[in-house]
Amino acid sequence: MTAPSSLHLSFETVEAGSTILRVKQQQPPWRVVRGFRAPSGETLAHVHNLSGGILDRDSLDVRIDLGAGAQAQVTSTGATRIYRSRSPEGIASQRTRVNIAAGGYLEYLPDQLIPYAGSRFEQTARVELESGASLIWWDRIAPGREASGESFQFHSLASQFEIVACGQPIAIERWTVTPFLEPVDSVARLGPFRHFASCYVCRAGDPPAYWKTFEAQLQIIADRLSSSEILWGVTSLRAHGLVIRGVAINGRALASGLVEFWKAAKWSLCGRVATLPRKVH
Amino acid sequence: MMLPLLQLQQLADSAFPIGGAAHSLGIEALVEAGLLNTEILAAFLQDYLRETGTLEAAYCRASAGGPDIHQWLSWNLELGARKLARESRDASAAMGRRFLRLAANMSADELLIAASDLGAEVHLAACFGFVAGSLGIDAPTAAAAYLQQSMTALVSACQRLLPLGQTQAHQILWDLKPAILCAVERSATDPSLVSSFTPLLDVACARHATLYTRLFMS
Repeated sequence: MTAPSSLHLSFETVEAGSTILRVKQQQPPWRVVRGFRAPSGETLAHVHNLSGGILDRDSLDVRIDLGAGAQAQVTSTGATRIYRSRSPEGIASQRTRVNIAAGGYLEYLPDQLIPYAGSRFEQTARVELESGASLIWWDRIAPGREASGESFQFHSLASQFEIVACGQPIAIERWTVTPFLEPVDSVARLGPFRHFASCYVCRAGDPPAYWKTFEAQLQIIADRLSSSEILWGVTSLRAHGLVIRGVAINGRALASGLVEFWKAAKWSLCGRVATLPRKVH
Repeated sequence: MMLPLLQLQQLADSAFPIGGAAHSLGIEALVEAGLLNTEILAAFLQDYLRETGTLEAAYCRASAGGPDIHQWLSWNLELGARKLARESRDASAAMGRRFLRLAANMSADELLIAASDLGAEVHLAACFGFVAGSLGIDAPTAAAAYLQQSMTALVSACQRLLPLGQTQAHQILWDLKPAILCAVERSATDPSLVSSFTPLLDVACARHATLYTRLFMS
């Protein structure tokens, strides 16, 4: 078992209320160049994996801290590619821990995850929100390299995701997809769809009535975007937030839908216009 | 041992008045979207048992093992957080509250009365296990009985949504028994470690409230 490669980002407020990025630790393959000022005021960080993807047996660790009042946007520089595993023990993993202090606001907007044929990957993420902290977090999973004819040819993809707000769990996902063992096209799983996505929108401390109203507003967008090729649903969490979920035959439609929800959610949460993060390549 | 088994049969009966017939847990939206029909129903229920069934059985099973009340309440919170869709979470919480209250009143068991009086967030799977454990039912039997009553309720919902007759419905329920036992076997672990992958069902639950007409609660 090799020691994980760590990346530790800390967003802190300085005088005049602006947010600065301190890269407290970055070990290869991680690379963050610097923070950029996003048009909507957040400090934007591009997380770059220099190896071009996640390799067999990679063990990656990401920690993101937002101090009180810090405003941050974190994205990737491209899709997260999970390369083929050479043995059943060759499981790549990534662990992400996020802490957002009171008044902090984080947008976590990575590109899609693409598990290549034969890959094995486990991802774990835990987000802790103090009272008054806000979060928009999306993720999007592709079935493989579709342009090469790959669809659900990976060995295993496992995910564990947890959001804790004011000390209580508000959302927990724990799933494993093993296409060679369990049929993914079962209606109990994905049915005829191949891509899936989630977008969590949270602010610790807002009352349930706020989220129910917001859920109804976003559901209008969900209805407008849904068709026989893509389905969206919006639902309140047990407290402090909601989740938007989508399943689609086509990945592009899912990506553009996420952007629509993000724009609406950002406007409602903080009254700022969402602009897609500039990418550096 | 005969008395607890008789009591368990009553608790797991679809006529037990907890409102189980009012919820389709996303199935109505799947049928409405043309994604679920009678031909694939049996396979759907088998996979449902593999995913959601195993998850709920794990919390039921753990709750039947005589946990202290704080641990049990924490499992309920965790199960609530794992039920992302409000529709299925609210249904599970409403049925859990009613189930616990009814069982507490009928049995006059002090622990059940105390748990019910707390007014905390509880869920049906955990309540079923907790009550079964208090009757002296072993954990795997409690989990199997819970899944049996869940499947009965779902098949009954399908009879109202699909062209599914009594005979075929009971054949499906009969054929699901090995899958129920499989889910019970898989659930013999820490409930927080159980995986469940149901993105389409989550979306269907979330979309149910927006259907033009509905037979079931959302």
